This record gives sequence, C-alpha cells and structure tokens, in this order.
Amino acid sequence: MALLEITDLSVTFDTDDGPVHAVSNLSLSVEKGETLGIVGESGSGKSQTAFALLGLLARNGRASGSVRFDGQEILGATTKEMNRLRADRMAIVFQDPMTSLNPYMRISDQMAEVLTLHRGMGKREAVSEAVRMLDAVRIPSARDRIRLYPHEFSGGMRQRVMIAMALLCQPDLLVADEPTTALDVTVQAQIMDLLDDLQKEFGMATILITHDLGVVAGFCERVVVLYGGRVMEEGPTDPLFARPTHPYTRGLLAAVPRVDDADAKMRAIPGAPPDMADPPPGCPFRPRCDFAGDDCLRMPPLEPFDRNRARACRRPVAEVAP
Amino acid sequence: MVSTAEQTTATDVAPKKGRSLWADARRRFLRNKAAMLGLAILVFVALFAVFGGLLAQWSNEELDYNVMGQAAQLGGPSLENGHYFGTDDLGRDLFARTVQGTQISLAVGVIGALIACVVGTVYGATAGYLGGRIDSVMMRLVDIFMAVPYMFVLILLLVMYGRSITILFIGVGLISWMEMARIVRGQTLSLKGRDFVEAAQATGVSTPVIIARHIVPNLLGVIAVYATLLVPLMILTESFISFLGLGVQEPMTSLGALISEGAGTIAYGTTWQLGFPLLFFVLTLFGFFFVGDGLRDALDPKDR
Amino acid sequence: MSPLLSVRDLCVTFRITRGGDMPWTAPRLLRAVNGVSFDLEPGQTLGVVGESGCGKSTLARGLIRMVPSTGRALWQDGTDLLALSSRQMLRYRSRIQMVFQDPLASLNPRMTLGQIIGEPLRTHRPDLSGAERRTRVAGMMERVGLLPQMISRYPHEFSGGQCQRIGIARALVMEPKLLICDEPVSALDVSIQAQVVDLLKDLQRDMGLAMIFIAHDLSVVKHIADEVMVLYLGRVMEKAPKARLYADPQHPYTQALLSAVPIPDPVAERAKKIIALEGDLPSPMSPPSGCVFRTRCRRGKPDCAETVPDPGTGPHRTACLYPGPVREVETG
Repeated sequence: MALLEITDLSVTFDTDDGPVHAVSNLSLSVEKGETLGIVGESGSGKSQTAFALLGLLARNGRASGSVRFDGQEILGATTKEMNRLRADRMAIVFQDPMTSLNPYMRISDQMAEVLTLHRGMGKREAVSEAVRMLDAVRIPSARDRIRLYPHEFSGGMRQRVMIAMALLCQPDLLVADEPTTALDVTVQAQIMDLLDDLQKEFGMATILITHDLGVVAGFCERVVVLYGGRVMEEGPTDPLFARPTHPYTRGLLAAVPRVDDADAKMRAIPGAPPDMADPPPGCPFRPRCDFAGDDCLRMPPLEPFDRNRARACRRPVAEVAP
Repeated sequence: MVSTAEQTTATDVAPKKGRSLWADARRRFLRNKAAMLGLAILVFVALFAVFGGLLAQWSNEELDYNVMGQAAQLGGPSLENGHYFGTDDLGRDLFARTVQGTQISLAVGVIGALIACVVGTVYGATAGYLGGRIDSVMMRLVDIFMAVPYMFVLILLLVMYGRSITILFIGVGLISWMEMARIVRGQTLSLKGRDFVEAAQATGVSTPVIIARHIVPNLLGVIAVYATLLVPLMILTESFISFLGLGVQEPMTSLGALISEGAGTIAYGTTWQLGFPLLFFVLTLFGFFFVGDGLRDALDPKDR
Repeated sequence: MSPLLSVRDLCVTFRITRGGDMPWTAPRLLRAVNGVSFDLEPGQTLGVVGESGCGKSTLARGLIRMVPSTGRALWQDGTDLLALSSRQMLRYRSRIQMVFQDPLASLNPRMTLGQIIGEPLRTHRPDLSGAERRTRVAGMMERVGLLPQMISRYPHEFSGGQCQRIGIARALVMEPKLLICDEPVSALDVSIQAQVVDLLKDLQRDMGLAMIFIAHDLSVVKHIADEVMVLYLGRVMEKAPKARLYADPQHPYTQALLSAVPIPDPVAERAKKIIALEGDLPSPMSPPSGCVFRTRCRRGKPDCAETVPDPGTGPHRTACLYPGPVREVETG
C-alpha cells in the first residue's frame, strides 16, 4: 500500500471573478521512502496540491477528491486531526523560512516546544534532541547557536533550521515546497545535498515541489510534471528526462538554460501560461503546443505507457514524425 | 524579429480599453452592502442638507410666537403647524435648524478633510520622497505641532477672535493635516523604494514630476480612505466645540450646538429637541464610517 | 573602435547610520562595490554575475548615478559620467536605460501602457506632439511583441512575460546605446525566460545596443553575454570572454558557482562534483583582509590574508594568488 494516495484531487478557489480551478482531477501516489518531484511553472497548481494534502488551503479554497495517508482518508479531516498528523507524521518545509519561524522566540524554545507537545519530552531532553537534529543538518556549533533568534541566522542556515524542525518528530512524509528558491545557487547546492543525505539517513518519503528541473534531476526518483492544474506527464526520473514524450515536458527541458553543454540553446516555448481564472478548453497546453489539433479541445486522460510512465496527451512527441 | 507566437496569445485578450485599478475597486465597492448602505445614508443626509430648506415652512430664524414659552406642550413635531421636527424653546422651527445645522457640520467635516488632503499630501509626499535631513526637519516640525494641545489652542483662538465660522474652519484645518501628513509620508517611503519609481529616476524624470505622476496617484487610495474617516472626526471636533458653546454664532447653528441645546432641555420632556439632531448626527457618522471601511476594503483587497 | 563605456576603479560606498546615532557620530562605511574596471564595446554584452550581496545591482546603479560612486566611467565621447553635474547627466540618461528584475513592480500600476512607455519620450523629447509620441510608442510595442491596440491597458492585466516586454519597450523607446538589465528574467517562468532572452538578443542586433546583463548565477548569462565578470563582496573575482570562462574557469569562486548550477539531466547531475563553499558570506561591513574570498576557499594559503590579489591585465583576468583548474581537495 502506498504511503500517500491522492485520487481525483481538485482544488477550487472562490474569488471575485468566480471560481478558479487551481488543480483538476489530480491523482498520484507516493511509496514509503520514495522521493517524488512535482514540477511546474507559476499557476501549475503545484503548491496548492501540497497545501490541499496538508490541510493548509486558504480560506476561500475547497478541495475535493480523496487523499489517503497510510490508508486513512485525510481530506476533510478536522483541524485538530490535521495538526496532530502534521506534527507527527507529515512535515513541511516552506520557501521562506522566516514566515514559519517565530522571530521573538529562541530556536531552542521553538524546537523544544514541538517535542514537549507531541512527544511528551521534558524540556532538557527536548533541547538535547533539538541540538542533535541541528547537528544532523550540519549547523556548526549547534549547542551554542540553538540559543540564537531566527534573524541571527543567514538564509541558508535558517532553511537548515526549518529542515531540522521538520525532521524532529521523524515524519514519514516530508513536503518541501520550493525549499531553495529564495537562496543563492551555492547555498542551494548545499541544502539539496543535505536533503539528499537526510533522506537516505532517515528514509522518509519526500515530495519536492519546484519549478527547477535541475533540482529535481539530482534529487528525485520519480517526477510529476504539472501544467494548468493538471498532470501532463509522470514517470521515473531517468527515462522522463532522457525521453520526454509530452510536448510540454520537452519544451520545458529545452527552455532551461544549461551550463554544462557548450552548444545547448535556450529554446522558448511561445505564448504565456494559462490564466487560471479563464483557462483554455481541453488540454491547458494546447494554445502553446506545436502539435495540437482539434482533438486536444477535449482534455486527454492520463494514460500509462512504457514502464511505470503516464502522460495526458493525444499527440505525444515520440509518435509525431519530426 | 518579433516572436509571433506571443502575438497570437495576445490577440486572445480583446484589445478593448483597459480596466484600471480604480475600476476594479469601484466594482468591489459596489458589491459591499454595508458600504452601499452607508453611501445611501450619506446621499440622503446630503440631499436633506441641500434641499431640506425648500420643504421647510419656517426659516431657521423665525420665531413662532404661538409656541414660544410652551414648547414642551405645543412645540412637538406636527404636520399641522409646519414644524415637522417640532420647535426649540424659543419657538424656532427645528426642521429648518436641523437642515442648517447639518449643512454646517457637513461643511466643517468636508472642508477640514479637504484641507487635510491637500496640505497633508503635499507635505507628507515631499518629506517622504526627499528623505534625509529635509524629511527629519519636516517631520519633527509635525511632531512639535502635534504635541501642542490643539483643543486648547482652538478654544483660545475662538475666545480671542470671537466665535466665527471662519476661525472654526481655520482651526479644524490646521490640526487635521498633520496625521494625514504622517500617513502619506509613511506610504511614500515604501513607494519610493518601488522599482517603477527607480525606473523613472533612471530615465531622468524630475523630482516634482515623479511625485505628481508616480507617488501621488498611488497614494490616492490611502488618502481617500483616510479622508472619509477624517470627515466624521472633524464633525465630532466641531460638535465638541459647539457643545462647549464656542462653535458657530447664533442664529447659525450646527448639529453639535443643537444636540447641546437639546440635551440641556431634556428635563422638560422635549425629547425631539435632542432626538432629531442626534439622529442626523449619528446617521452622518455611520455613513462616513461605513463608506470609509468599504473604500479601504475595495482599494486594498489584501488588507481584509 | 573605442569602447562605448570604459569604467575604471568604480567604487560605491554607503554610509551606514544606525538609529539613535548622534549627528556627530562618524558613520560606518560599507563598500558595496570596490575597484571594478571594465570596457564595454558597442553592441557587446557584459554579463555581471554574483550572489546576493556581491554588489552587482549596486554596480549598475552606481554607473547611472542612482547611488553616489567614485572612480571613472568614460563614455565614448570622452565624458566622465561620474564627474557630470546632475543637469549634464540628464543628457546621458536617455542613452543608458535600465530593465528591472520584477516586471510588474517596475511598472506604475496607475498608468496605461502608453503612458509608461511614453514617459522617457515625455521627459527627453518635450518637443514631440502627443500624436507623434503615440506613434513611436505603438511602433516600439510592436517591436517587442505587444499589440499596439493594447496601448490604453494597465500593467496588471498582463502576464509576467508581457510585463517584461513593456519594461523593455520603455527602456528602448529612446533608442539608447546602452541597456542595463538587472536580472530581467529571474522572476519569470522557465518557458518565458527564453522568450525574453531571444527578444533582447534580437533587439540588440537590430539596434546595435550594448548591454550589461546582471544575473545571480551563471546559467542565463551563458546564452547572452560576450564577456562575463564574476563579483564577490563587491570585488571582481574573474573576468573573461564567455567561452574561456565556461571552458576554463580559473578562480575557485567561479568554479564553485559553476558547479552549483543544477543540470536538468539526472545522469550528469548525479555525476557532477559540487565545490561546496564553507560557512556563510562574511559581513560586507567588515570584509576579510587580503582576498575577500579566502574565508570560504579551500585553496586558501596564509598569504591570501595579506595580499589583495591583482587581477592582472589581458582578456582573462583572475583575482587569485593560486589560480588554476579545480583541485581534488575542493570537491566532495
């Protein structure tokens, strides 16, 4: 049984301009200890998917469908149940660590609070456990620095603190929502390296949400590509990057600026991402797709192909003669 | 050379006239029920102040000798003798006096707020945009003015120069702009750091033009909200002064003065003398507060 | 051909005053840009790369005198831009224009496209009539891929990529000689970045523009720059023609930056050796003595703390006492 099983998840926001469908009929699953990458551009619904499964949607948002965590339905669970679940078994790391750290509390108090509350530890024991975790995320001289306040850390160090906090209760699932987007590249490299090591050490399943294909390539075993709130293509990382078949995945890979390849070009995808308040009918990528035809006006279903791969496209690239 | 594909998507957007942020705000405002109620109340009060005089059978100065001296028995509201709101102790028509009082109160509020807007915006935007030493000096000056107990000064002015509506306007205007200047300066500071202001500076747009073209239009929302909330505060100030008996000179009156009179005679059972002015006073304040809140929600939807 | 812009020893120093300081307290100095020199030929692109706090944006703002700067910046005609009065500088402001990082934030939300793009014309060509201005604005809109019918619309009605086109149209409407792009694609989606880079390249070719292209990593710059300059803590670490810099970086910081860019290819990304930087960026208020990079460099030797490395002359300059290819001790 999969650790996380999302079936037919839809997320809708009620806005002044009518309902906005941020995520439509999304299904995916995460096995125990697996690393899954959710890749998408702005408006692809990648963050809203994470918020929905963690029960963190904004007040005007509604989620429908089913999210089963370890066999238990958690969509529509009460705030109290979700709080317990988020503290014990699922953890999240946000893009901006400053928003989730209390600026007026010492790191030691913030970390110890989690343990005293959820693990019933005494204060002293909790602090030493917190120090152990800060050591694990390679914060130098953790024993002294745990007494500092969040603003006394650099951006990269703060993100390490966030990761340490997320791992305190040894969750089964870690959701990292653009954990390195706000950081410099050299710091990003450090953090991704750290996440990779920690994932191997603790063995938790990890969902990495990002717009950066390069980050996914180094970290994830499996990738889901989202566009316009729908899954375009998914599958194991290596074949998906080596032989992308969805025109969007191909376009996205060709658009990324690469530093390793001497004559790689950045190839633009024409047009702009869909306006989610007024999405095009059918396949959301149709208006920007070179291969689109009239049959794309109906949304193609997500169909399995090859080994463990799936795509939602009527005209996958491999089958269109170049 | 142009990427044609972008153009094809661009054509999806109908090339009509753009919808400005103001239009968006208007739409949100019109949908806000409390604000629309407030606006309706204000329109009613304004119509009452402007055209109420045409309905009055008596002028605000005329004394009705039939009623004089027995206001408690005969001066009650009545359609027959034309005193819709009754009379005061001297037999003056309360309807006409309420119309006239509302005019004065609205005028004091609106003019006070207008002075606040103009002076406060220019002062605050200049200080905030220029920054540095000029800003420090200008804002310390405001601090000093604000430290002066203005009510005391206003009362002193009225005592020294006599009770006159001009002094009242000047006094209210003098105190009202300072808070506005502070708010505008704060907003200007944050606007100044925005990229579009920097873009204008890099292009070489002159400072007064940047303030007028880039800073002030982006402040109008805040100014509008604050001004609508300032009007009732001005009205309250004026009523307080009038309540103390230092406001406008008889036979002119204001809602504050009427309420003061009404409150003084309440012991004789002439409840209407307090009731009607108070009703219009409360309606006006409610109207402005509702509209102000509505404007704030409409102009800054993130702030809700 | 003489260079369009010749910058020598540009420094930008900020005076930091703390709240509560008395007026006579000497302010602390923060040198955000320290001794930067380069030549920019007409029609060429200089890429300026560095992480946050390296002074790359400040460098651009120092050049156009948005922040006070010292040194020399000689324009083609021999004028030193940094020595001009602000009135004299006005003439050059129309020749140097800027494109900003956040496309929407760089456009005044209360102005229509026509007003935004027309603003430089209104400032520098008051002789033009409203109709002439409109014609020019519409022509420029077409060149950047915007429909001229959209002239009376507002910025918030456009996507990020289109907003950046508006920003580019505004910058180019005066037909400048030099365009400074401050991370113009960092805030855009990957699929849109290439569109904007292509547009900039096309416009550069058609209008003979020189560009200073600022970026926070080495990826996009590779596709647009002719020469690349790497900054760290306000100083130039390495400067070289593009091909040389990517094929044969000499400075350990350039090597670290290059190795940190993730590669969208699982096999290559997993095989890649990352040169990890130790510790955090030092405070620019009190930079390390000698080589500013030495506190995070594994190649560092004791003498790095004493001598400020001289970048030397020639096309490929490296400010390092021990330049050379990546060494075994630095990876892993």
